[in-house]
Amino acid sequence: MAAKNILNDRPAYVVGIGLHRYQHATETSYVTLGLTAVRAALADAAVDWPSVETAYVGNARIGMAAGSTMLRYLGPSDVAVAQVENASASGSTAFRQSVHDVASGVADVSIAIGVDKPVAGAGRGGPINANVPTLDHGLIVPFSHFAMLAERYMADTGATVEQIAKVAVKNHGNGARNPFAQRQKVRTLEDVLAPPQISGALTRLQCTPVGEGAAAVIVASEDALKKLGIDRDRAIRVAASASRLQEFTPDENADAALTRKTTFEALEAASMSPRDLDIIELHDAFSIEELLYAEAMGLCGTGEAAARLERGEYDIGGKHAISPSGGLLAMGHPIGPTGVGQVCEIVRQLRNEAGDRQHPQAKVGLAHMVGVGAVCVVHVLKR
Amino acid sequence: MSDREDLWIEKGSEIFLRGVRCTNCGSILFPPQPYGCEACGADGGSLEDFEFSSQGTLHSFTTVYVHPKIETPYQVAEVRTEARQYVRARLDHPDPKVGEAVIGCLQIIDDDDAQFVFVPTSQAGG
Ligand SMILES: [Zn+2]
Repeated sequence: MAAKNILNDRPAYVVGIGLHRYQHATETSYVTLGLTAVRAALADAAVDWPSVETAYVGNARIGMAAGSTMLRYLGPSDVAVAQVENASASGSTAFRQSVHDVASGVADVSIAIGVDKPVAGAGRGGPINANVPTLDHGLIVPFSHFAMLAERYMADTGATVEQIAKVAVKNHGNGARNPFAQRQKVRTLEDVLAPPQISGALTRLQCTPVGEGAAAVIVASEDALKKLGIDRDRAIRVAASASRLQEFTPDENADAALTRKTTFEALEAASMSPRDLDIIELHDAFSIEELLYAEAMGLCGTGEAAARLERGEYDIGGKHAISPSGGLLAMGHPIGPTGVGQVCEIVRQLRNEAGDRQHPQAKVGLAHMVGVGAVCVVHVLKR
Repeated sequence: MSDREDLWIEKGSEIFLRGVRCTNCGSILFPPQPYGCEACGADGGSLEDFEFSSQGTLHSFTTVYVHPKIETPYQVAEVRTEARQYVRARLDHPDPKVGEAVIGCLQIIDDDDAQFVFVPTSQAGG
């Protein structure tokens, strides 16, 4: 799609970020989780709730009307609310809606929220309700899909089990410096390779923890910056937004093809190339994904990612900092919040406010999520 | 998910898979569905039943050690069949390697009905 990038004509800025720590499921209501993030984002932007004109609430597990129910507790406002569900990319898609509201002039201030937790009685999803039969008898689960990708990657590139595990060593190290991360422990290669084995090369510490949490970002127009007196130095511009549905690709790895196409659509819209990217937050639900997506995004050639990661090119302070938040592997993957949380991390990095996990001279960041469907959503932000 | 005997058929000594073929673009799709062609967008009326050999090569495989309902460990495979379709199912292979020839057969798993399982081609018929 070579559509015109409306973000060139009417800029949209992220002006506030807020999080509730990602964590194992607790008795805490999703309302408490979500409002913690929303109030933090409003405070960070120094914007009051009645100034927010539209709100998108991304989640996939807490059911109908969760977003509207939660936002009533913020008091009177004229806000237009919608809940957004797009599997693991729900939060990313909520953000895209907010960005487009601002870029199109529908709203001057919009909030994108991700909030989620496991709840009893959640319905079966589309892939099951579509009633398309499978041969696998329920044997194939997400981690076995990615374990098969790992096996294939090793056969194609000669990468080793240890090299794949080093993705997790890096991201656990980053998560250890992130107070909002679910996993905040430094792990050695030996720790990461230790049992329990989950599937194939993947051990427990190479699989994302799915718990609960919340994230929120406030998106504002140029007019809103002036009218509300928002600090321009802390406003981070959204350069591009892209979203794609998986296509039938019988001769190519479908996951890699989807990421490649979506990333290049976003980079083209932003008039950038992969080498411009300082910060990349990507969907590393399983360690192998970081290597596959780094290659699909064009950060390096096919089959090179494992060696480059080993040399430190993807560390904070390296050529591109991949998942400085800890990524899904360490920060966690509460589903709805994850894509919004990626934007929070990129904004923090581009503002130079990331403390001891700051990547030096960060000017451009890219957020990438994939979700069941499959869908892929990519945003590029710049300072 | 229940056993899907309608996804395969015994033909002589070989197990064939039952997918659909798009009469508009010729793509072979598996698993079968009545909704439309993912390759070209033709509607479900353009999809006709199509049986194809389960012989193929191991595109990938893994051993699964953790599952909430199924006894572990077990192996699964993604196989590229001769009809250029990727098919995923249980694997029973002592030493699998990417690229190896495999074929479908029927095995009784856990006293259940017959399940479709990929095995090394050299071992088929045993
Ligand atoms: Zn077709």
